[in-house]
Amino acid sequence: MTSAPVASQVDLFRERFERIVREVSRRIVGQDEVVRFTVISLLAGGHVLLEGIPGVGKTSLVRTLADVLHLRFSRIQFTPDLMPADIVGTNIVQEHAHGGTFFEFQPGPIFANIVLADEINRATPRTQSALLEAMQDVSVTVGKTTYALDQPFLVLATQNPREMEGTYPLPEAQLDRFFFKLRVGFPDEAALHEILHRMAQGDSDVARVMDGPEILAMRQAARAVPIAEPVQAYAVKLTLATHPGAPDAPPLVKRYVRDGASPRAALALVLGGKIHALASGRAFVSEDDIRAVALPALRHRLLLGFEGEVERVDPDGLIQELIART
Amino acid sequence: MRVLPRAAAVACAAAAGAFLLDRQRYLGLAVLGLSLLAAAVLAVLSRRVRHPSDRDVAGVDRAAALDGSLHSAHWFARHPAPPAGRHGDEEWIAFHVETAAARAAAVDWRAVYAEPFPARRGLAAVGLVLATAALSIAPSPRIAMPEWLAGQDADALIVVPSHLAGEVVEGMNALKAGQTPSREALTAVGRALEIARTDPRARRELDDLFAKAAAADPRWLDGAWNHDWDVNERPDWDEGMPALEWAYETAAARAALDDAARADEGTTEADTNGRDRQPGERGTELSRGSTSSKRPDSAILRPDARGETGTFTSFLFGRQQAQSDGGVAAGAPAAGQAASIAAALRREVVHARTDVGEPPRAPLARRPSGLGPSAVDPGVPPTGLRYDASHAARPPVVPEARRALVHDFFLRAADTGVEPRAAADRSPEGARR
Repeated sequence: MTSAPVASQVDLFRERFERIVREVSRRIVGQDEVVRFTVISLLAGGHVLLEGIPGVGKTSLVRTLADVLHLRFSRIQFTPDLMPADIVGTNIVQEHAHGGTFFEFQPGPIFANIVLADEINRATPRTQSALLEAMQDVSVTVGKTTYALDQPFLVLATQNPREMEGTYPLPEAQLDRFFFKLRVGFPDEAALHEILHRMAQGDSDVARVMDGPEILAMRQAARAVPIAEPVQAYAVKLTLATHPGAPDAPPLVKRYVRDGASPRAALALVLGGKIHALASGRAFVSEDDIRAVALPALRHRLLLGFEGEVERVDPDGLIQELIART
Repeated sequence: MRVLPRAAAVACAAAAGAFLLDRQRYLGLAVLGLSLLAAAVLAVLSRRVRHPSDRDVAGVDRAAALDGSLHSAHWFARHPAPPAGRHGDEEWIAFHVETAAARAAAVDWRAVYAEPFPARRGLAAVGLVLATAALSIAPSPRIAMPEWLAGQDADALIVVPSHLAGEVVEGMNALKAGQTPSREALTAVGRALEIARTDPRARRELDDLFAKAAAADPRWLDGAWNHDWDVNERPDWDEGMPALEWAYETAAARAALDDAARADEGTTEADTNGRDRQPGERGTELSRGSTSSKRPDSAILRPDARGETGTFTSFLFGRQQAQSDGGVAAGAPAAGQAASIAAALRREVVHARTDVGEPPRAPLARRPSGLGPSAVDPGVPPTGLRYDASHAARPPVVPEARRALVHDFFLRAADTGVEPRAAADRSPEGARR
């Protein structure tokens, strides 16, 4: 009977996942779904773009997550005058004790496990692109030297969808590197009351429930989850249907979408589906898991055309149309 | 199996219908047998399909609310050895299949799907099968038909009136024997044929009567029966109704000719010999088959009142007109001419309306038929010629529905000069144009 270890792994994964979510939710109120998807992205080794108006708890979420996971946390406030070296670090001249000088690399804030890139769209594209290598290869190159970043590595970027003046929209290549794009909505009335009550009592203390090696073990378990060919085919079909030139594309996609999702979207659907299944206590992926992660995995990968931009088409509506028809 | 009760119900209904109408008594059993055969074929085919399709499994998964576990595990079960690591760790796959099987086994499938063949429906199917068999074997139930049904369908089931049936059979027997039936029998056959022209059921019934009449006459069958039909003219009785219609029309024409001849003969002989012939004497002679009637054209050609051989044209237009053609009726017709006329008439029956007792108001010209030039061409009589109407006889009755068509298509008044288009196209002049 070889199933016992697998069953225990499934149970352990679920228990750890719930523990993280429960602990983060002690400080973050009314954002359960955002918390769950953020943890899924962390366990998938992906990065998250958080979009929401100021004050809804984006930065608090990232800071709390770092506290709970016992990981190194750094915050970078993106501004128009921020330089790439301010992110990745730079070589500075040092003096030997016995005389003479040498260059020594001073790591930037990117050298952390959880990096909060606050208001990432306020930095120039040049600075934004400094994150590309770190996000994709988990390494940075300064001069002729490449420095590996510690695992787990997670970039959580935030942006404000309202104040677009003086911002630099993220390039498509960088958008595609975010595993999920999560919308942090305004909390409802009950959640707002709860926030006020907790503020009156002071910041809730959160426990460190997990560390880096445990997260890496969970990542390994997630990748072992089997996915049947029909379910994988569903993810592929969903991805292809986002392309306006695809035969299965619905009319709305053909009308409003300029470019569809990249292959990274299919990866995000499958891997996110695996973790979603494990978090639900299942050792297999179903089409429901794929559908559950479709919105955060696809919404930033649909590039709207001129008509879509003018009519302010919501990509979420297009994706829901896709799900309904696929 | 689920459709078996319905098939049995259909078979039982068919058997009940056949039982009441006393028709096709084994129809119910036939339907039942076909249904069982189809069920057996489907059962064999369903056993051959061992693996349900992926779509079917997905449907079962949804119906049982298994969250996709059955759907996914079914695929892994059908693909037991995927490439290593391609779809997941083998331990995880085994665990997944095991848990999915356990979960599917725990499902109360009776709550998901209704029982396909409950005992109640099985009993109903057995009862219907037994009823079908009983209805197919039981004696005729026509006496048990409801009065309203029996009364309503009495005419429909027996469309030839019963009081005509005996005379119709008598007339048929006479016609088959080549004899002229009695006037009453001929009238009965004609009336029955009129009914049969508009009622297919009457036509079938008459056909049956006609077939039985043939079988009921052993003298005809053994060839001993003396008949007037010429070898070339005798209809093919196997044709059924067309042969009967032809025989009836010929016999009617013969009877009319006999009447005219009898009347003429009576007048002439009374004048010359001072005595009348006995009524029916002439007809008796003909029916026995006189010397002339044994000739090939005997069915058409009859000695007229003056002892000369008549022709069909004389029958239609009177002897003087026929003689004025200068050939056709001047002497004995060429051998086979009358047979040709008869053959042409079989293909194309022409009924000319003639005013008996008066001179023809307009000369009638027979057009060439569509099959070629007509063998009968009486021509146009000289203007001012008066006809002896005493030799004219009323032709066979033309059905009302066909009267106008025949008149307009085949005949025209010479003085009108109006030529129908179809006739003009068929005329030799039109053909040459």
